[in-house]
Amino acid sequence: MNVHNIVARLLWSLGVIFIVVSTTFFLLQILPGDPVKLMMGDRVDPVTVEQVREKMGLNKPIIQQYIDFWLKLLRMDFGDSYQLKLPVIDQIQSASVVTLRLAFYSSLIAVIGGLLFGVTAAIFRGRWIDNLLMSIAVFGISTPSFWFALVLQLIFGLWLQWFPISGYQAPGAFVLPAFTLGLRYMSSLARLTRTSMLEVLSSEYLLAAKAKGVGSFRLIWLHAFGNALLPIMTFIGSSLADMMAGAILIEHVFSLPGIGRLTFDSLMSRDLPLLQATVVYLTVISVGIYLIVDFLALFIDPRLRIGGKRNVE
Amino acid sequence: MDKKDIIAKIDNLHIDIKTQAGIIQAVRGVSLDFEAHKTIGLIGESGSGKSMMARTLLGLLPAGGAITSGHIYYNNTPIETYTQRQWRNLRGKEIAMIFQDPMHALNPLMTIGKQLSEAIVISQKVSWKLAKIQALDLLKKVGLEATPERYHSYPHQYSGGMRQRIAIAMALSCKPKLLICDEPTTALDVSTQAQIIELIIKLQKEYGMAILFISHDLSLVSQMADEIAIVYAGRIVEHATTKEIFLQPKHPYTWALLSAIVHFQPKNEVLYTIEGSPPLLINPPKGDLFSYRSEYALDIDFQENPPFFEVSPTHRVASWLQDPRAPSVTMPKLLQKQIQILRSQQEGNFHE
Amino acid sequence: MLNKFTLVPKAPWPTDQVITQENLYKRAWKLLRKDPIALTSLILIAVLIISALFAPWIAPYDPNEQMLSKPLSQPSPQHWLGTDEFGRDILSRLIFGARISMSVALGSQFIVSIIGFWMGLIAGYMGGKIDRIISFIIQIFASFPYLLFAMALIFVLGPGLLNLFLALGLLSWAGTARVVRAQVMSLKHREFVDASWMMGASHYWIMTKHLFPNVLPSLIVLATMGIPNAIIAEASLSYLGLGVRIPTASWGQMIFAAKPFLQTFPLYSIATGILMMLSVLAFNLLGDRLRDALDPRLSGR
Repeated sequence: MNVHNIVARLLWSLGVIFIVVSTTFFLLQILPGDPVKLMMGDRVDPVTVEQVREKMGLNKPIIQQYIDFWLKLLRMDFGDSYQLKLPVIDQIQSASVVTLRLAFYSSLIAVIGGLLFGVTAAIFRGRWIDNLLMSIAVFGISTPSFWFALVLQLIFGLWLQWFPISGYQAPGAFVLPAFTLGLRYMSSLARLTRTSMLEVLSSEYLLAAKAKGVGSFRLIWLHAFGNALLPIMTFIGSSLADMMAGAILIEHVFSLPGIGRLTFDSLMSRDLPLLQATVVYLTVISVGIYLIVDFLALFIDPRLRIGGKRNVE
Repeated sequence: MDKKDIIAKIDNLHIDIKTQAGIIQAVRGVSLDFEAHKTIGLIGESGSGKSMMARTLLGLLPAGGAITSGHIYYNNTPIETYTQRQWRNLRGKEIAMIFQDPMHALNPLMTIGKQLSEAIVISQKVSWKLAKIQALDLLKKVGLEATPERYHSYPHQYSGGMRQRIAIAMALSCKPKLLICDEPTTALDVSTQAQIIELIIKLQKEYGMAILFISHDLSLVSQMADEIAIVYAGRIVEHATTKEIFLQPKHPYTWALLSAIVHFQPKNEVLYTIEGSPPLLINPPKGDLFSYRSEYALDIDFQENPPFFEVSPTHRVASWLQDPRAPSVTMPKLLQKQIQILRSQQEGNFHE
Repeated sequence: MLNKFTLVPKAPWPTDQVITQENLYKRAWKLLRKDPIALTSLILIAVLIISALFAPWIAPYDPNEQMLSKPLSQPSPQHWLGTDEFGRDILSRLIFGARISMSVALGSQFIVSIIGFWMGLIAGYMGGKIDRIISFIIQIFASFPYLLFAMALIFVLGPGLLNLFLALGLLSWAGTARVVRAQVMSLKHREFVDASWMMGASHYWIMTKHLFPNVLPSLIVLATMGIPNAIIAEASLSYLGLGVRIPTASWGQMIFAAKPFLQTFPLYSIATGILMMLSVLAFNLLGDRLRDALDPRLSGR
């Protein structure tokens, strides 16, 4: 991939952010309920309502509001939230600390566990360890995370009292949430990795490497793994992006004050500035993850990096 | 060389492959001797089990594949019971292989230099630095520029013919005693094919290894093989020197293969063809499996498998037609005529 | 003995050695019938669908009938799984919950298959600019956390069964479209399509008579594999209060309701969760087996 492709990829990402953010903006306009009344309660006198309306620019034509919205957004100004009357950006910041930690731990579990399980199962194809790991994986993708979270809370929180079941400050607070959130993605990644690995293991270049006398460790990790990773890179990206949304449920179950919880609460209370900001946040993070994954693929695969200009015989 | 310098031999080898559909009897009793400086051409249609014979010589049978009886000897030691670790000491050190499709035989994520050096490091236990020097040397030997730029480029930057040269360099890095070529030119165009064959002949002269050259192309193999073994349905049906195969073919299947060679065929005339395709070897019926496609099938062919009949000390044929009790059958007239022409033109022109 | 050595006419290869080309679906069914896991999953799914269809006759109680005298009662001969916080029979609510779960899962996958098929078909068949536009849309839909958008969509549309169909169906068709597009692109230039085109068949004829039957196995597999995700998505939305309207019984909502009684009455939550897990598991396992039997190319998914 050359400079031209990288620029195109970046532009595409910006385009996606633009489309999603704009769609949300207009979607929120058709939400039922008057924002001012939502913000100030029903018992406000009409004069004050008008004043607030004026102040917030809600009287302007929708296109004007849309332009204002983007101008503010570029200055990272999301306004104040309706409920807490605090700057949205501060709320996002404090919630994001929690969510990013949760996402970091669970993606570690998902990616490392998934790849390790998948590779191991592929190596021992058809043996008991393969069957065991794949049974775990199929249970992993079949167990609803929010229910599994409850079961773990019951066992490890209430009965054994090893880990706290809510909050985020106590030591070990992230163990159960990260595990429940990571498990599902770990399982589907393990299944995919196994398939991809099996395909590579039966390829001719791997047979050729074996014929060269390459040892099994080197064969698996140096020759096979990179090649098996390529087709599942996009899946890893979409899993990580999906995980941000999955955090909504997990943060709900474990009462973690993260972005997911904030998104849900702002949706339920129709806190438009806050909701808009969380959507922007999640979109930017997702797009960011996709970009990172794309660049990683670029790093691994020389075919993407260097053009196929053939040396002439 | 008076005394035969046998490097490896396979003796009455049987290979079964377990699949979902059933057990495939891929190789059903094959014996061959591999001699230094000599090339054996192994000819057969796809599915005849020839690739399995190649892979078993490296201990690389696919999942489900196993040797059920027979032996493989290397330096007079039976090696068919070797563990993976023992195999690894042979692979890439004593026995090397070149694969069919050069487009897929190299790791796309690794520079060709690294892959070449890796083979050298593994076989000779030298440092990577030293290996790089040798690798560049090998590149030159197989007719590629020995520049650092070449060394650091990736497989996708090369054409098929060049990749096959790299694969050959890799196989030769350990100076193998036995080189297995599994249809190394099938995926290449005709002119590149000739170059690769030339290269292999040149390198054999230099290194003196035994070569097992697998192909479905009889005329191609005739350019370089000392002996040719014709394989049908997991068995050798005719085995002789190249000259004998071309000038005194005995087996109807060999007749068919010879007739199919383009330059043998006079314009607008079909010499002799066989219909159908080789059978799937799951629970095959008894007897000679070729008889189901043969114009010259005898009653006994459907009951008993033919033994080898010796035509000359270097020529054996597995066909009941060679039995003294069998009716005398001659090859198709047109093929006879062609061989006559060949005999007068090319006497002594075969690779020997 | 001598007559053994006479020339005989060519004999046909023994028939039991010939592998006949069978109908794809018949062969798949033969494979599945022999597989105990696939069979168990099928039976479980059949039980689920039957109880969903005939819930009013199978459930021992009206799922919404409140017996306030006995809230949260332990399992008994009258109430096999006990009663919930309002004294409603848990077993009956689970059976009626299967109704919601199955109809949302099947309904949304029906929508997914239709949208995914047509989008993929048009993109793959037409190619060019249309293909690029549809591919871009597919990419956008595929790359965003759909649960989040489903939440927003339900919030705008309001809770309810039909809106669940729409939200889950409209947001998760991208994967199906992508597979169909790739397959149509490879089918497009096969001889039978060209031949049909030259004989004057219309685009619509080619699409429905030639392309659809070839894509159908993949569609079946993808829909089966999409059902588990839809079940979990519906339950997740219901758990968050964005599913069907209360008091209609749904599994996700029941798990939410059981949360405060986790310690005192764990059976409430565990029974609901296990039933849900089993049904998801059954579809996942069946999906895997169906894929292996009908369309092994999809195993990269």
